[in-house]
Amino acid sequence: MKPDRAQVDLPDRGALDRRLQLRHLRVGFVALFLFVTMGIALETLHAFKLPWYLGVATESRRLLWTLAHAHGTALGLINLALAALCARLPRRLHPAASPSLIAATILIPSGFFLGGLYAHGGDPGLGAVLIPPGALLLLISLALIVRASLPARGGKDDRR
Amino acid sequence: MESLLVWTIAGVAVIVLLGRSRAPSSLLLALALLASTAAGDALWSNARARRARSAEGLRQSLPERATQNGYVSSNSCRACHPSQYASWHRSYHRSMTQAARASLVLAPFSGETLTATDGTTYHLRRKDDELWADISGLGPRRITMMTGSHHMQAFWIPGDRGNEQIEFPFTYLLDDQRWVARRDVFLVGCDYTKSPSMWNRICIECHVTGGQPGLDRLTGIPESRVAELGIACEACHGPAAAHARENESPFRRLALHDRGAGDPTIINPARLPPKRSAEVCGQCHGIACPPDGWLQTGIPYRPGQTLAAEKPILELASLKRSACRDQIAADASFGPSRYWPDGMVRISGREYNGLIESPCFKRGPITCLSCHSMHDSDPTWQLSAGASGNGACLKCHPAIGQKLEAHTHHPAGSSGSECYNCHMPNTTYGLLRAMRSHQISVPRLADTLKAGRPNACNLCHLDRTLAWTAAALARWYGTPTPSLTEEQRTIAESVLELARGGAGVRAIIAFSMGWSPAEATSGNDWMAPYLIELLSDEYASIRYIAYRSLKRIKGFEDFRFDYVAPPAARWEAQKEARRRLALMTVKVADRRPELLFSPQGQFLRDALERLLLERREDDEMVLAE
Repeated sequence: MKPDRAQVDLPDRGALDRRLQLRHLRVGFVALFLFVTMGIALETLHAFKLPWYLGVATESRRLLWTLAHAHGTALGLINLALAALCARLPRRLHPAASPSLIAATILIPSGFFLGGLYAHGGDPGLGAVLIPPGALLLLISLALIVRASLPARGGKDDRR
Repeated sequence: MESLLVWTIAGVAVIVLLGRSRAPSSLLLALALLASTAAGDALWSNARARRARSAEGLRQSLPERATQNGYVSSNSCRACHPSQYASWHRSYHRSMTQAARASLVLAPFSGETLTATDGTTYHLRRKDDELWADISGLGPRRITMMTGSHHMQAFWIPGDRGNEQIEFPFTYLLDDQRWVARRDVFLVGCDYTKSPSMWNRICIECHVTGGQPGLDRLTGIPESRVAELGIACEACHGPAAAHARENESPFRRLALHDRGAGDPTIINPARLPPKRSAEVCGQCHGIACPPDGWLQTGIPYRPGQTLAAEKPILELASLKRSACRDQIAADASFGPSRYWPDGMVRISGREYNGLIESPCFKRGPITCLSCHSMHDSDPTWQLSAGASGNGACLKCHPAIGQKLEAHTHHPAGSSGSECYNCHMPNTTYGLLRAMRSHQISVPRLADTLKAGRPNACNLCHLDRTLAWTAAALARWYGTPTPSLTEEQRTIAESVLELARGGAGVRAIIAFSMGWSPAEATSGNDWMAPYLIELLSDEYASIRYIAYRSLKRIKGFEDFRFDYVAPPAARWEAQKEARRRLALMTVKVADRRPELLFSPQGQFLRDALERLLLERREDDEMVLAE
C-alpha cells in the first residue's frame, strides 16, 4: 500500500512546533531588544534636541524612525505571541507562514529606518521600497496563522 | 550606500524566506520581494536624480545660505518651540519670500500667456515642482523666488550677474485670481516707468532673515546671502546659535523652566522695555536710513540693540539732517511719496514711524505688542486676543470706557464709538487699499485743511461737509471752528476730495466708499456716480479700488470692469455703468445738494466736472509702499 504523502513529507508536528517556538522566541526577543533600544535612542535625541533629528527639514526622518521603532517592537511581540501559541494551533502552520513573518519583521522596520536615514525633504529614502513587500509578507503570514487557528478538517486535531 | 543597505536587507529577507525549505510558495514570495525591490530602486533613483537636478538649479540661483553670524534658521527652533513655530508658520511673515515651487505657488502657472506693454509674451507653466516662463525673444527662464502670499504674489527670475534676482513683470492678485502688470498694483501715474527692481538691492533688507546683499562695490554684482528666506524666528529674536547650543542640555532647560525667568541667550521682544521692543518691529516697519555699507554686509541691527544706532528712522522734519540727505535730495519725490505734508506717514508697512509719533508711545508704555502678536493672533492683521475692539485702548484708558458715549458722542457699540475709527483712521495706503494710520491722533479739521489728509470724521460721514464736522467738533469738544470756503460749507468733503485731491487722497476716499462703517453711516446709493467717474481715473490702482467699492452698491453687484483693460474697453464699461445708473432711482434722503444731486434725484454731473476742471491736483504721484 502506497504511504500517505503527508506521512512521508511532513515532519512530526511536535518537533516542528518546538523549532518554530525557538525561532520566533529568538527573533521576537532580538527585535524587542533592538527596537526598544532604538526607542531609548530616539528619546535621547529628543532630550538633546538634535536638529539632525528634530529639525523641520528632518520631519520625515523623525516620523519614519518613530514608525520603525513602533513597528519593530510590535512585530517582536507578534513573534513572541506566535512562539507562545504555535503549539496550540489546531492545524499545522503552512511552511511559508513563519519565514514570511520573520522576513516582515526584518523588512518593515528596516524599511522605515533606512527610509528615514536617507530622507530627502518630505520624501523617504529608497529604504521605503522594503515596506510594501514587508507588509504583504506580514499579511500573508497572518492569514496563514489564522488559517492554522481554524478547526482542523473533519474535526481532526493534529496537535501532539 | 543607501542602495547597498536596502539590497542587503532584501537579501537577508530572501534567505529567511527560502530557508531550508524550497517550497514553491516561498520561492514565489522571494521572487516577488526581489522584483519589487528592483522596481522601487529604479523608480526611486530616477525620481531622486530629477529632484536633485531641480534643487541644484534652484540652489545656484538663490542667495546662498549664511550661517556665520550666529543664525541657525527656524529649522532648529521647532525642536523646542513647536507651538510658536506653528503660529509663525501660519503667518504671512513666513512666506514673505519663498523659493519658487509649484507645490507652494498660489498663481496658476497652467499654460497662461501674459503680454507686457512692449509686446513681450510670457508663457507660464509648471514642470514637476518647478515654475517656468517661456519669454519671447529670451527663451525659457525658471522662476526662482516668490514674494507674498496674502494679497498678492510677486515673482523673481535670475539675472545674468551673480545671484541677482530680477522682478518678474507680472503679479498675481489673490483675491481677484488674476495676473496684472507689476506696475498696476502700485499707486503710480500712467506715465510712471522704471526698470525692473533687483531683489538683492531692495527686498533683501526686510523680506528675509539675516540678509546680506553682497553687492560688489565696483561692479554692483551681487553675491547675496541670507540666513533664511522669509521673515523667520531670528528676525525678531536675534541669531539663535548660542541659544540652541546652550539649550541642548536638558538640565539647563529644566533649570530655566523652574526659574521662570527669560533666557539671556536669546531676545524675547515681549520681555524687552516697550521702546526697545517696538524697535524690533521698527527695523522693517519704519522708513529708515540704512547705514553705509549695508549693500555689502547687510543691516547690522539685531533685536535688543538700539535701532537708532544701526538704522536711524527718518521723519519728514529730519530728512535734510539725516545721513541719507544726499540720496533724498536727489529724489524730489522721496518725502511726498512717503509722508503727508504735516509729517504723518501715508504708506502702509511703515507703522513704526506712526507709532513713535503717538502720545501713547511718547508718554506711555505702548508698544507694537500692546495690540499685535505673532504667536497668538489671526494671521490677517495679527491682532492679539482682545485687541480687535476697544479692549486694546481701554487697558490704559479705563475711565473713557466707563463713560464711552460721553466721550465719543456716538452710541456704544456703533462704529463711531470704536477707538480705532477716530484715532487711527484709514489714512495710509498700500496693497490696493487704505489702511489704518498707526499714528494715534485726535481728529482735527487741520488734518484736512493743512495736511490735505482726509479727517477721521469725514471718512465715515462721507456725505457731510467740513462745516458740518466743524460744528460737531465745536459742539462736543469745544474745538475752534476754522474759516472754511464756500465749497467746504456747501459740498460734502468726500466729493471735494475726490474732485480736487491728489491720487493718494482719491484712493482713500474710493476705499472708504466701500468700507462698511462708512456705508452704514452715509448710505451708498449716492456714491455710484462718483465711483463710476473714478473708473476713468488715470491711476490704475484708483480704478481698481473704485470698482471694488462700486460692486458693493445695489444694482452693480454683477457689473464687470477690467481696471487694466485698454482705455476704449474701460470707457465702454464706464458708459454701461452710467446706463445702469440712469435706470436707478436715488433715495429721497440722498437727494442732497451737498452730494451734487438735484431735488429731483438727478446727479449734477456738470457741477462735478466744474470741480474737476477747476481744482484737480494733477501732480504725478508715486506712493512708495
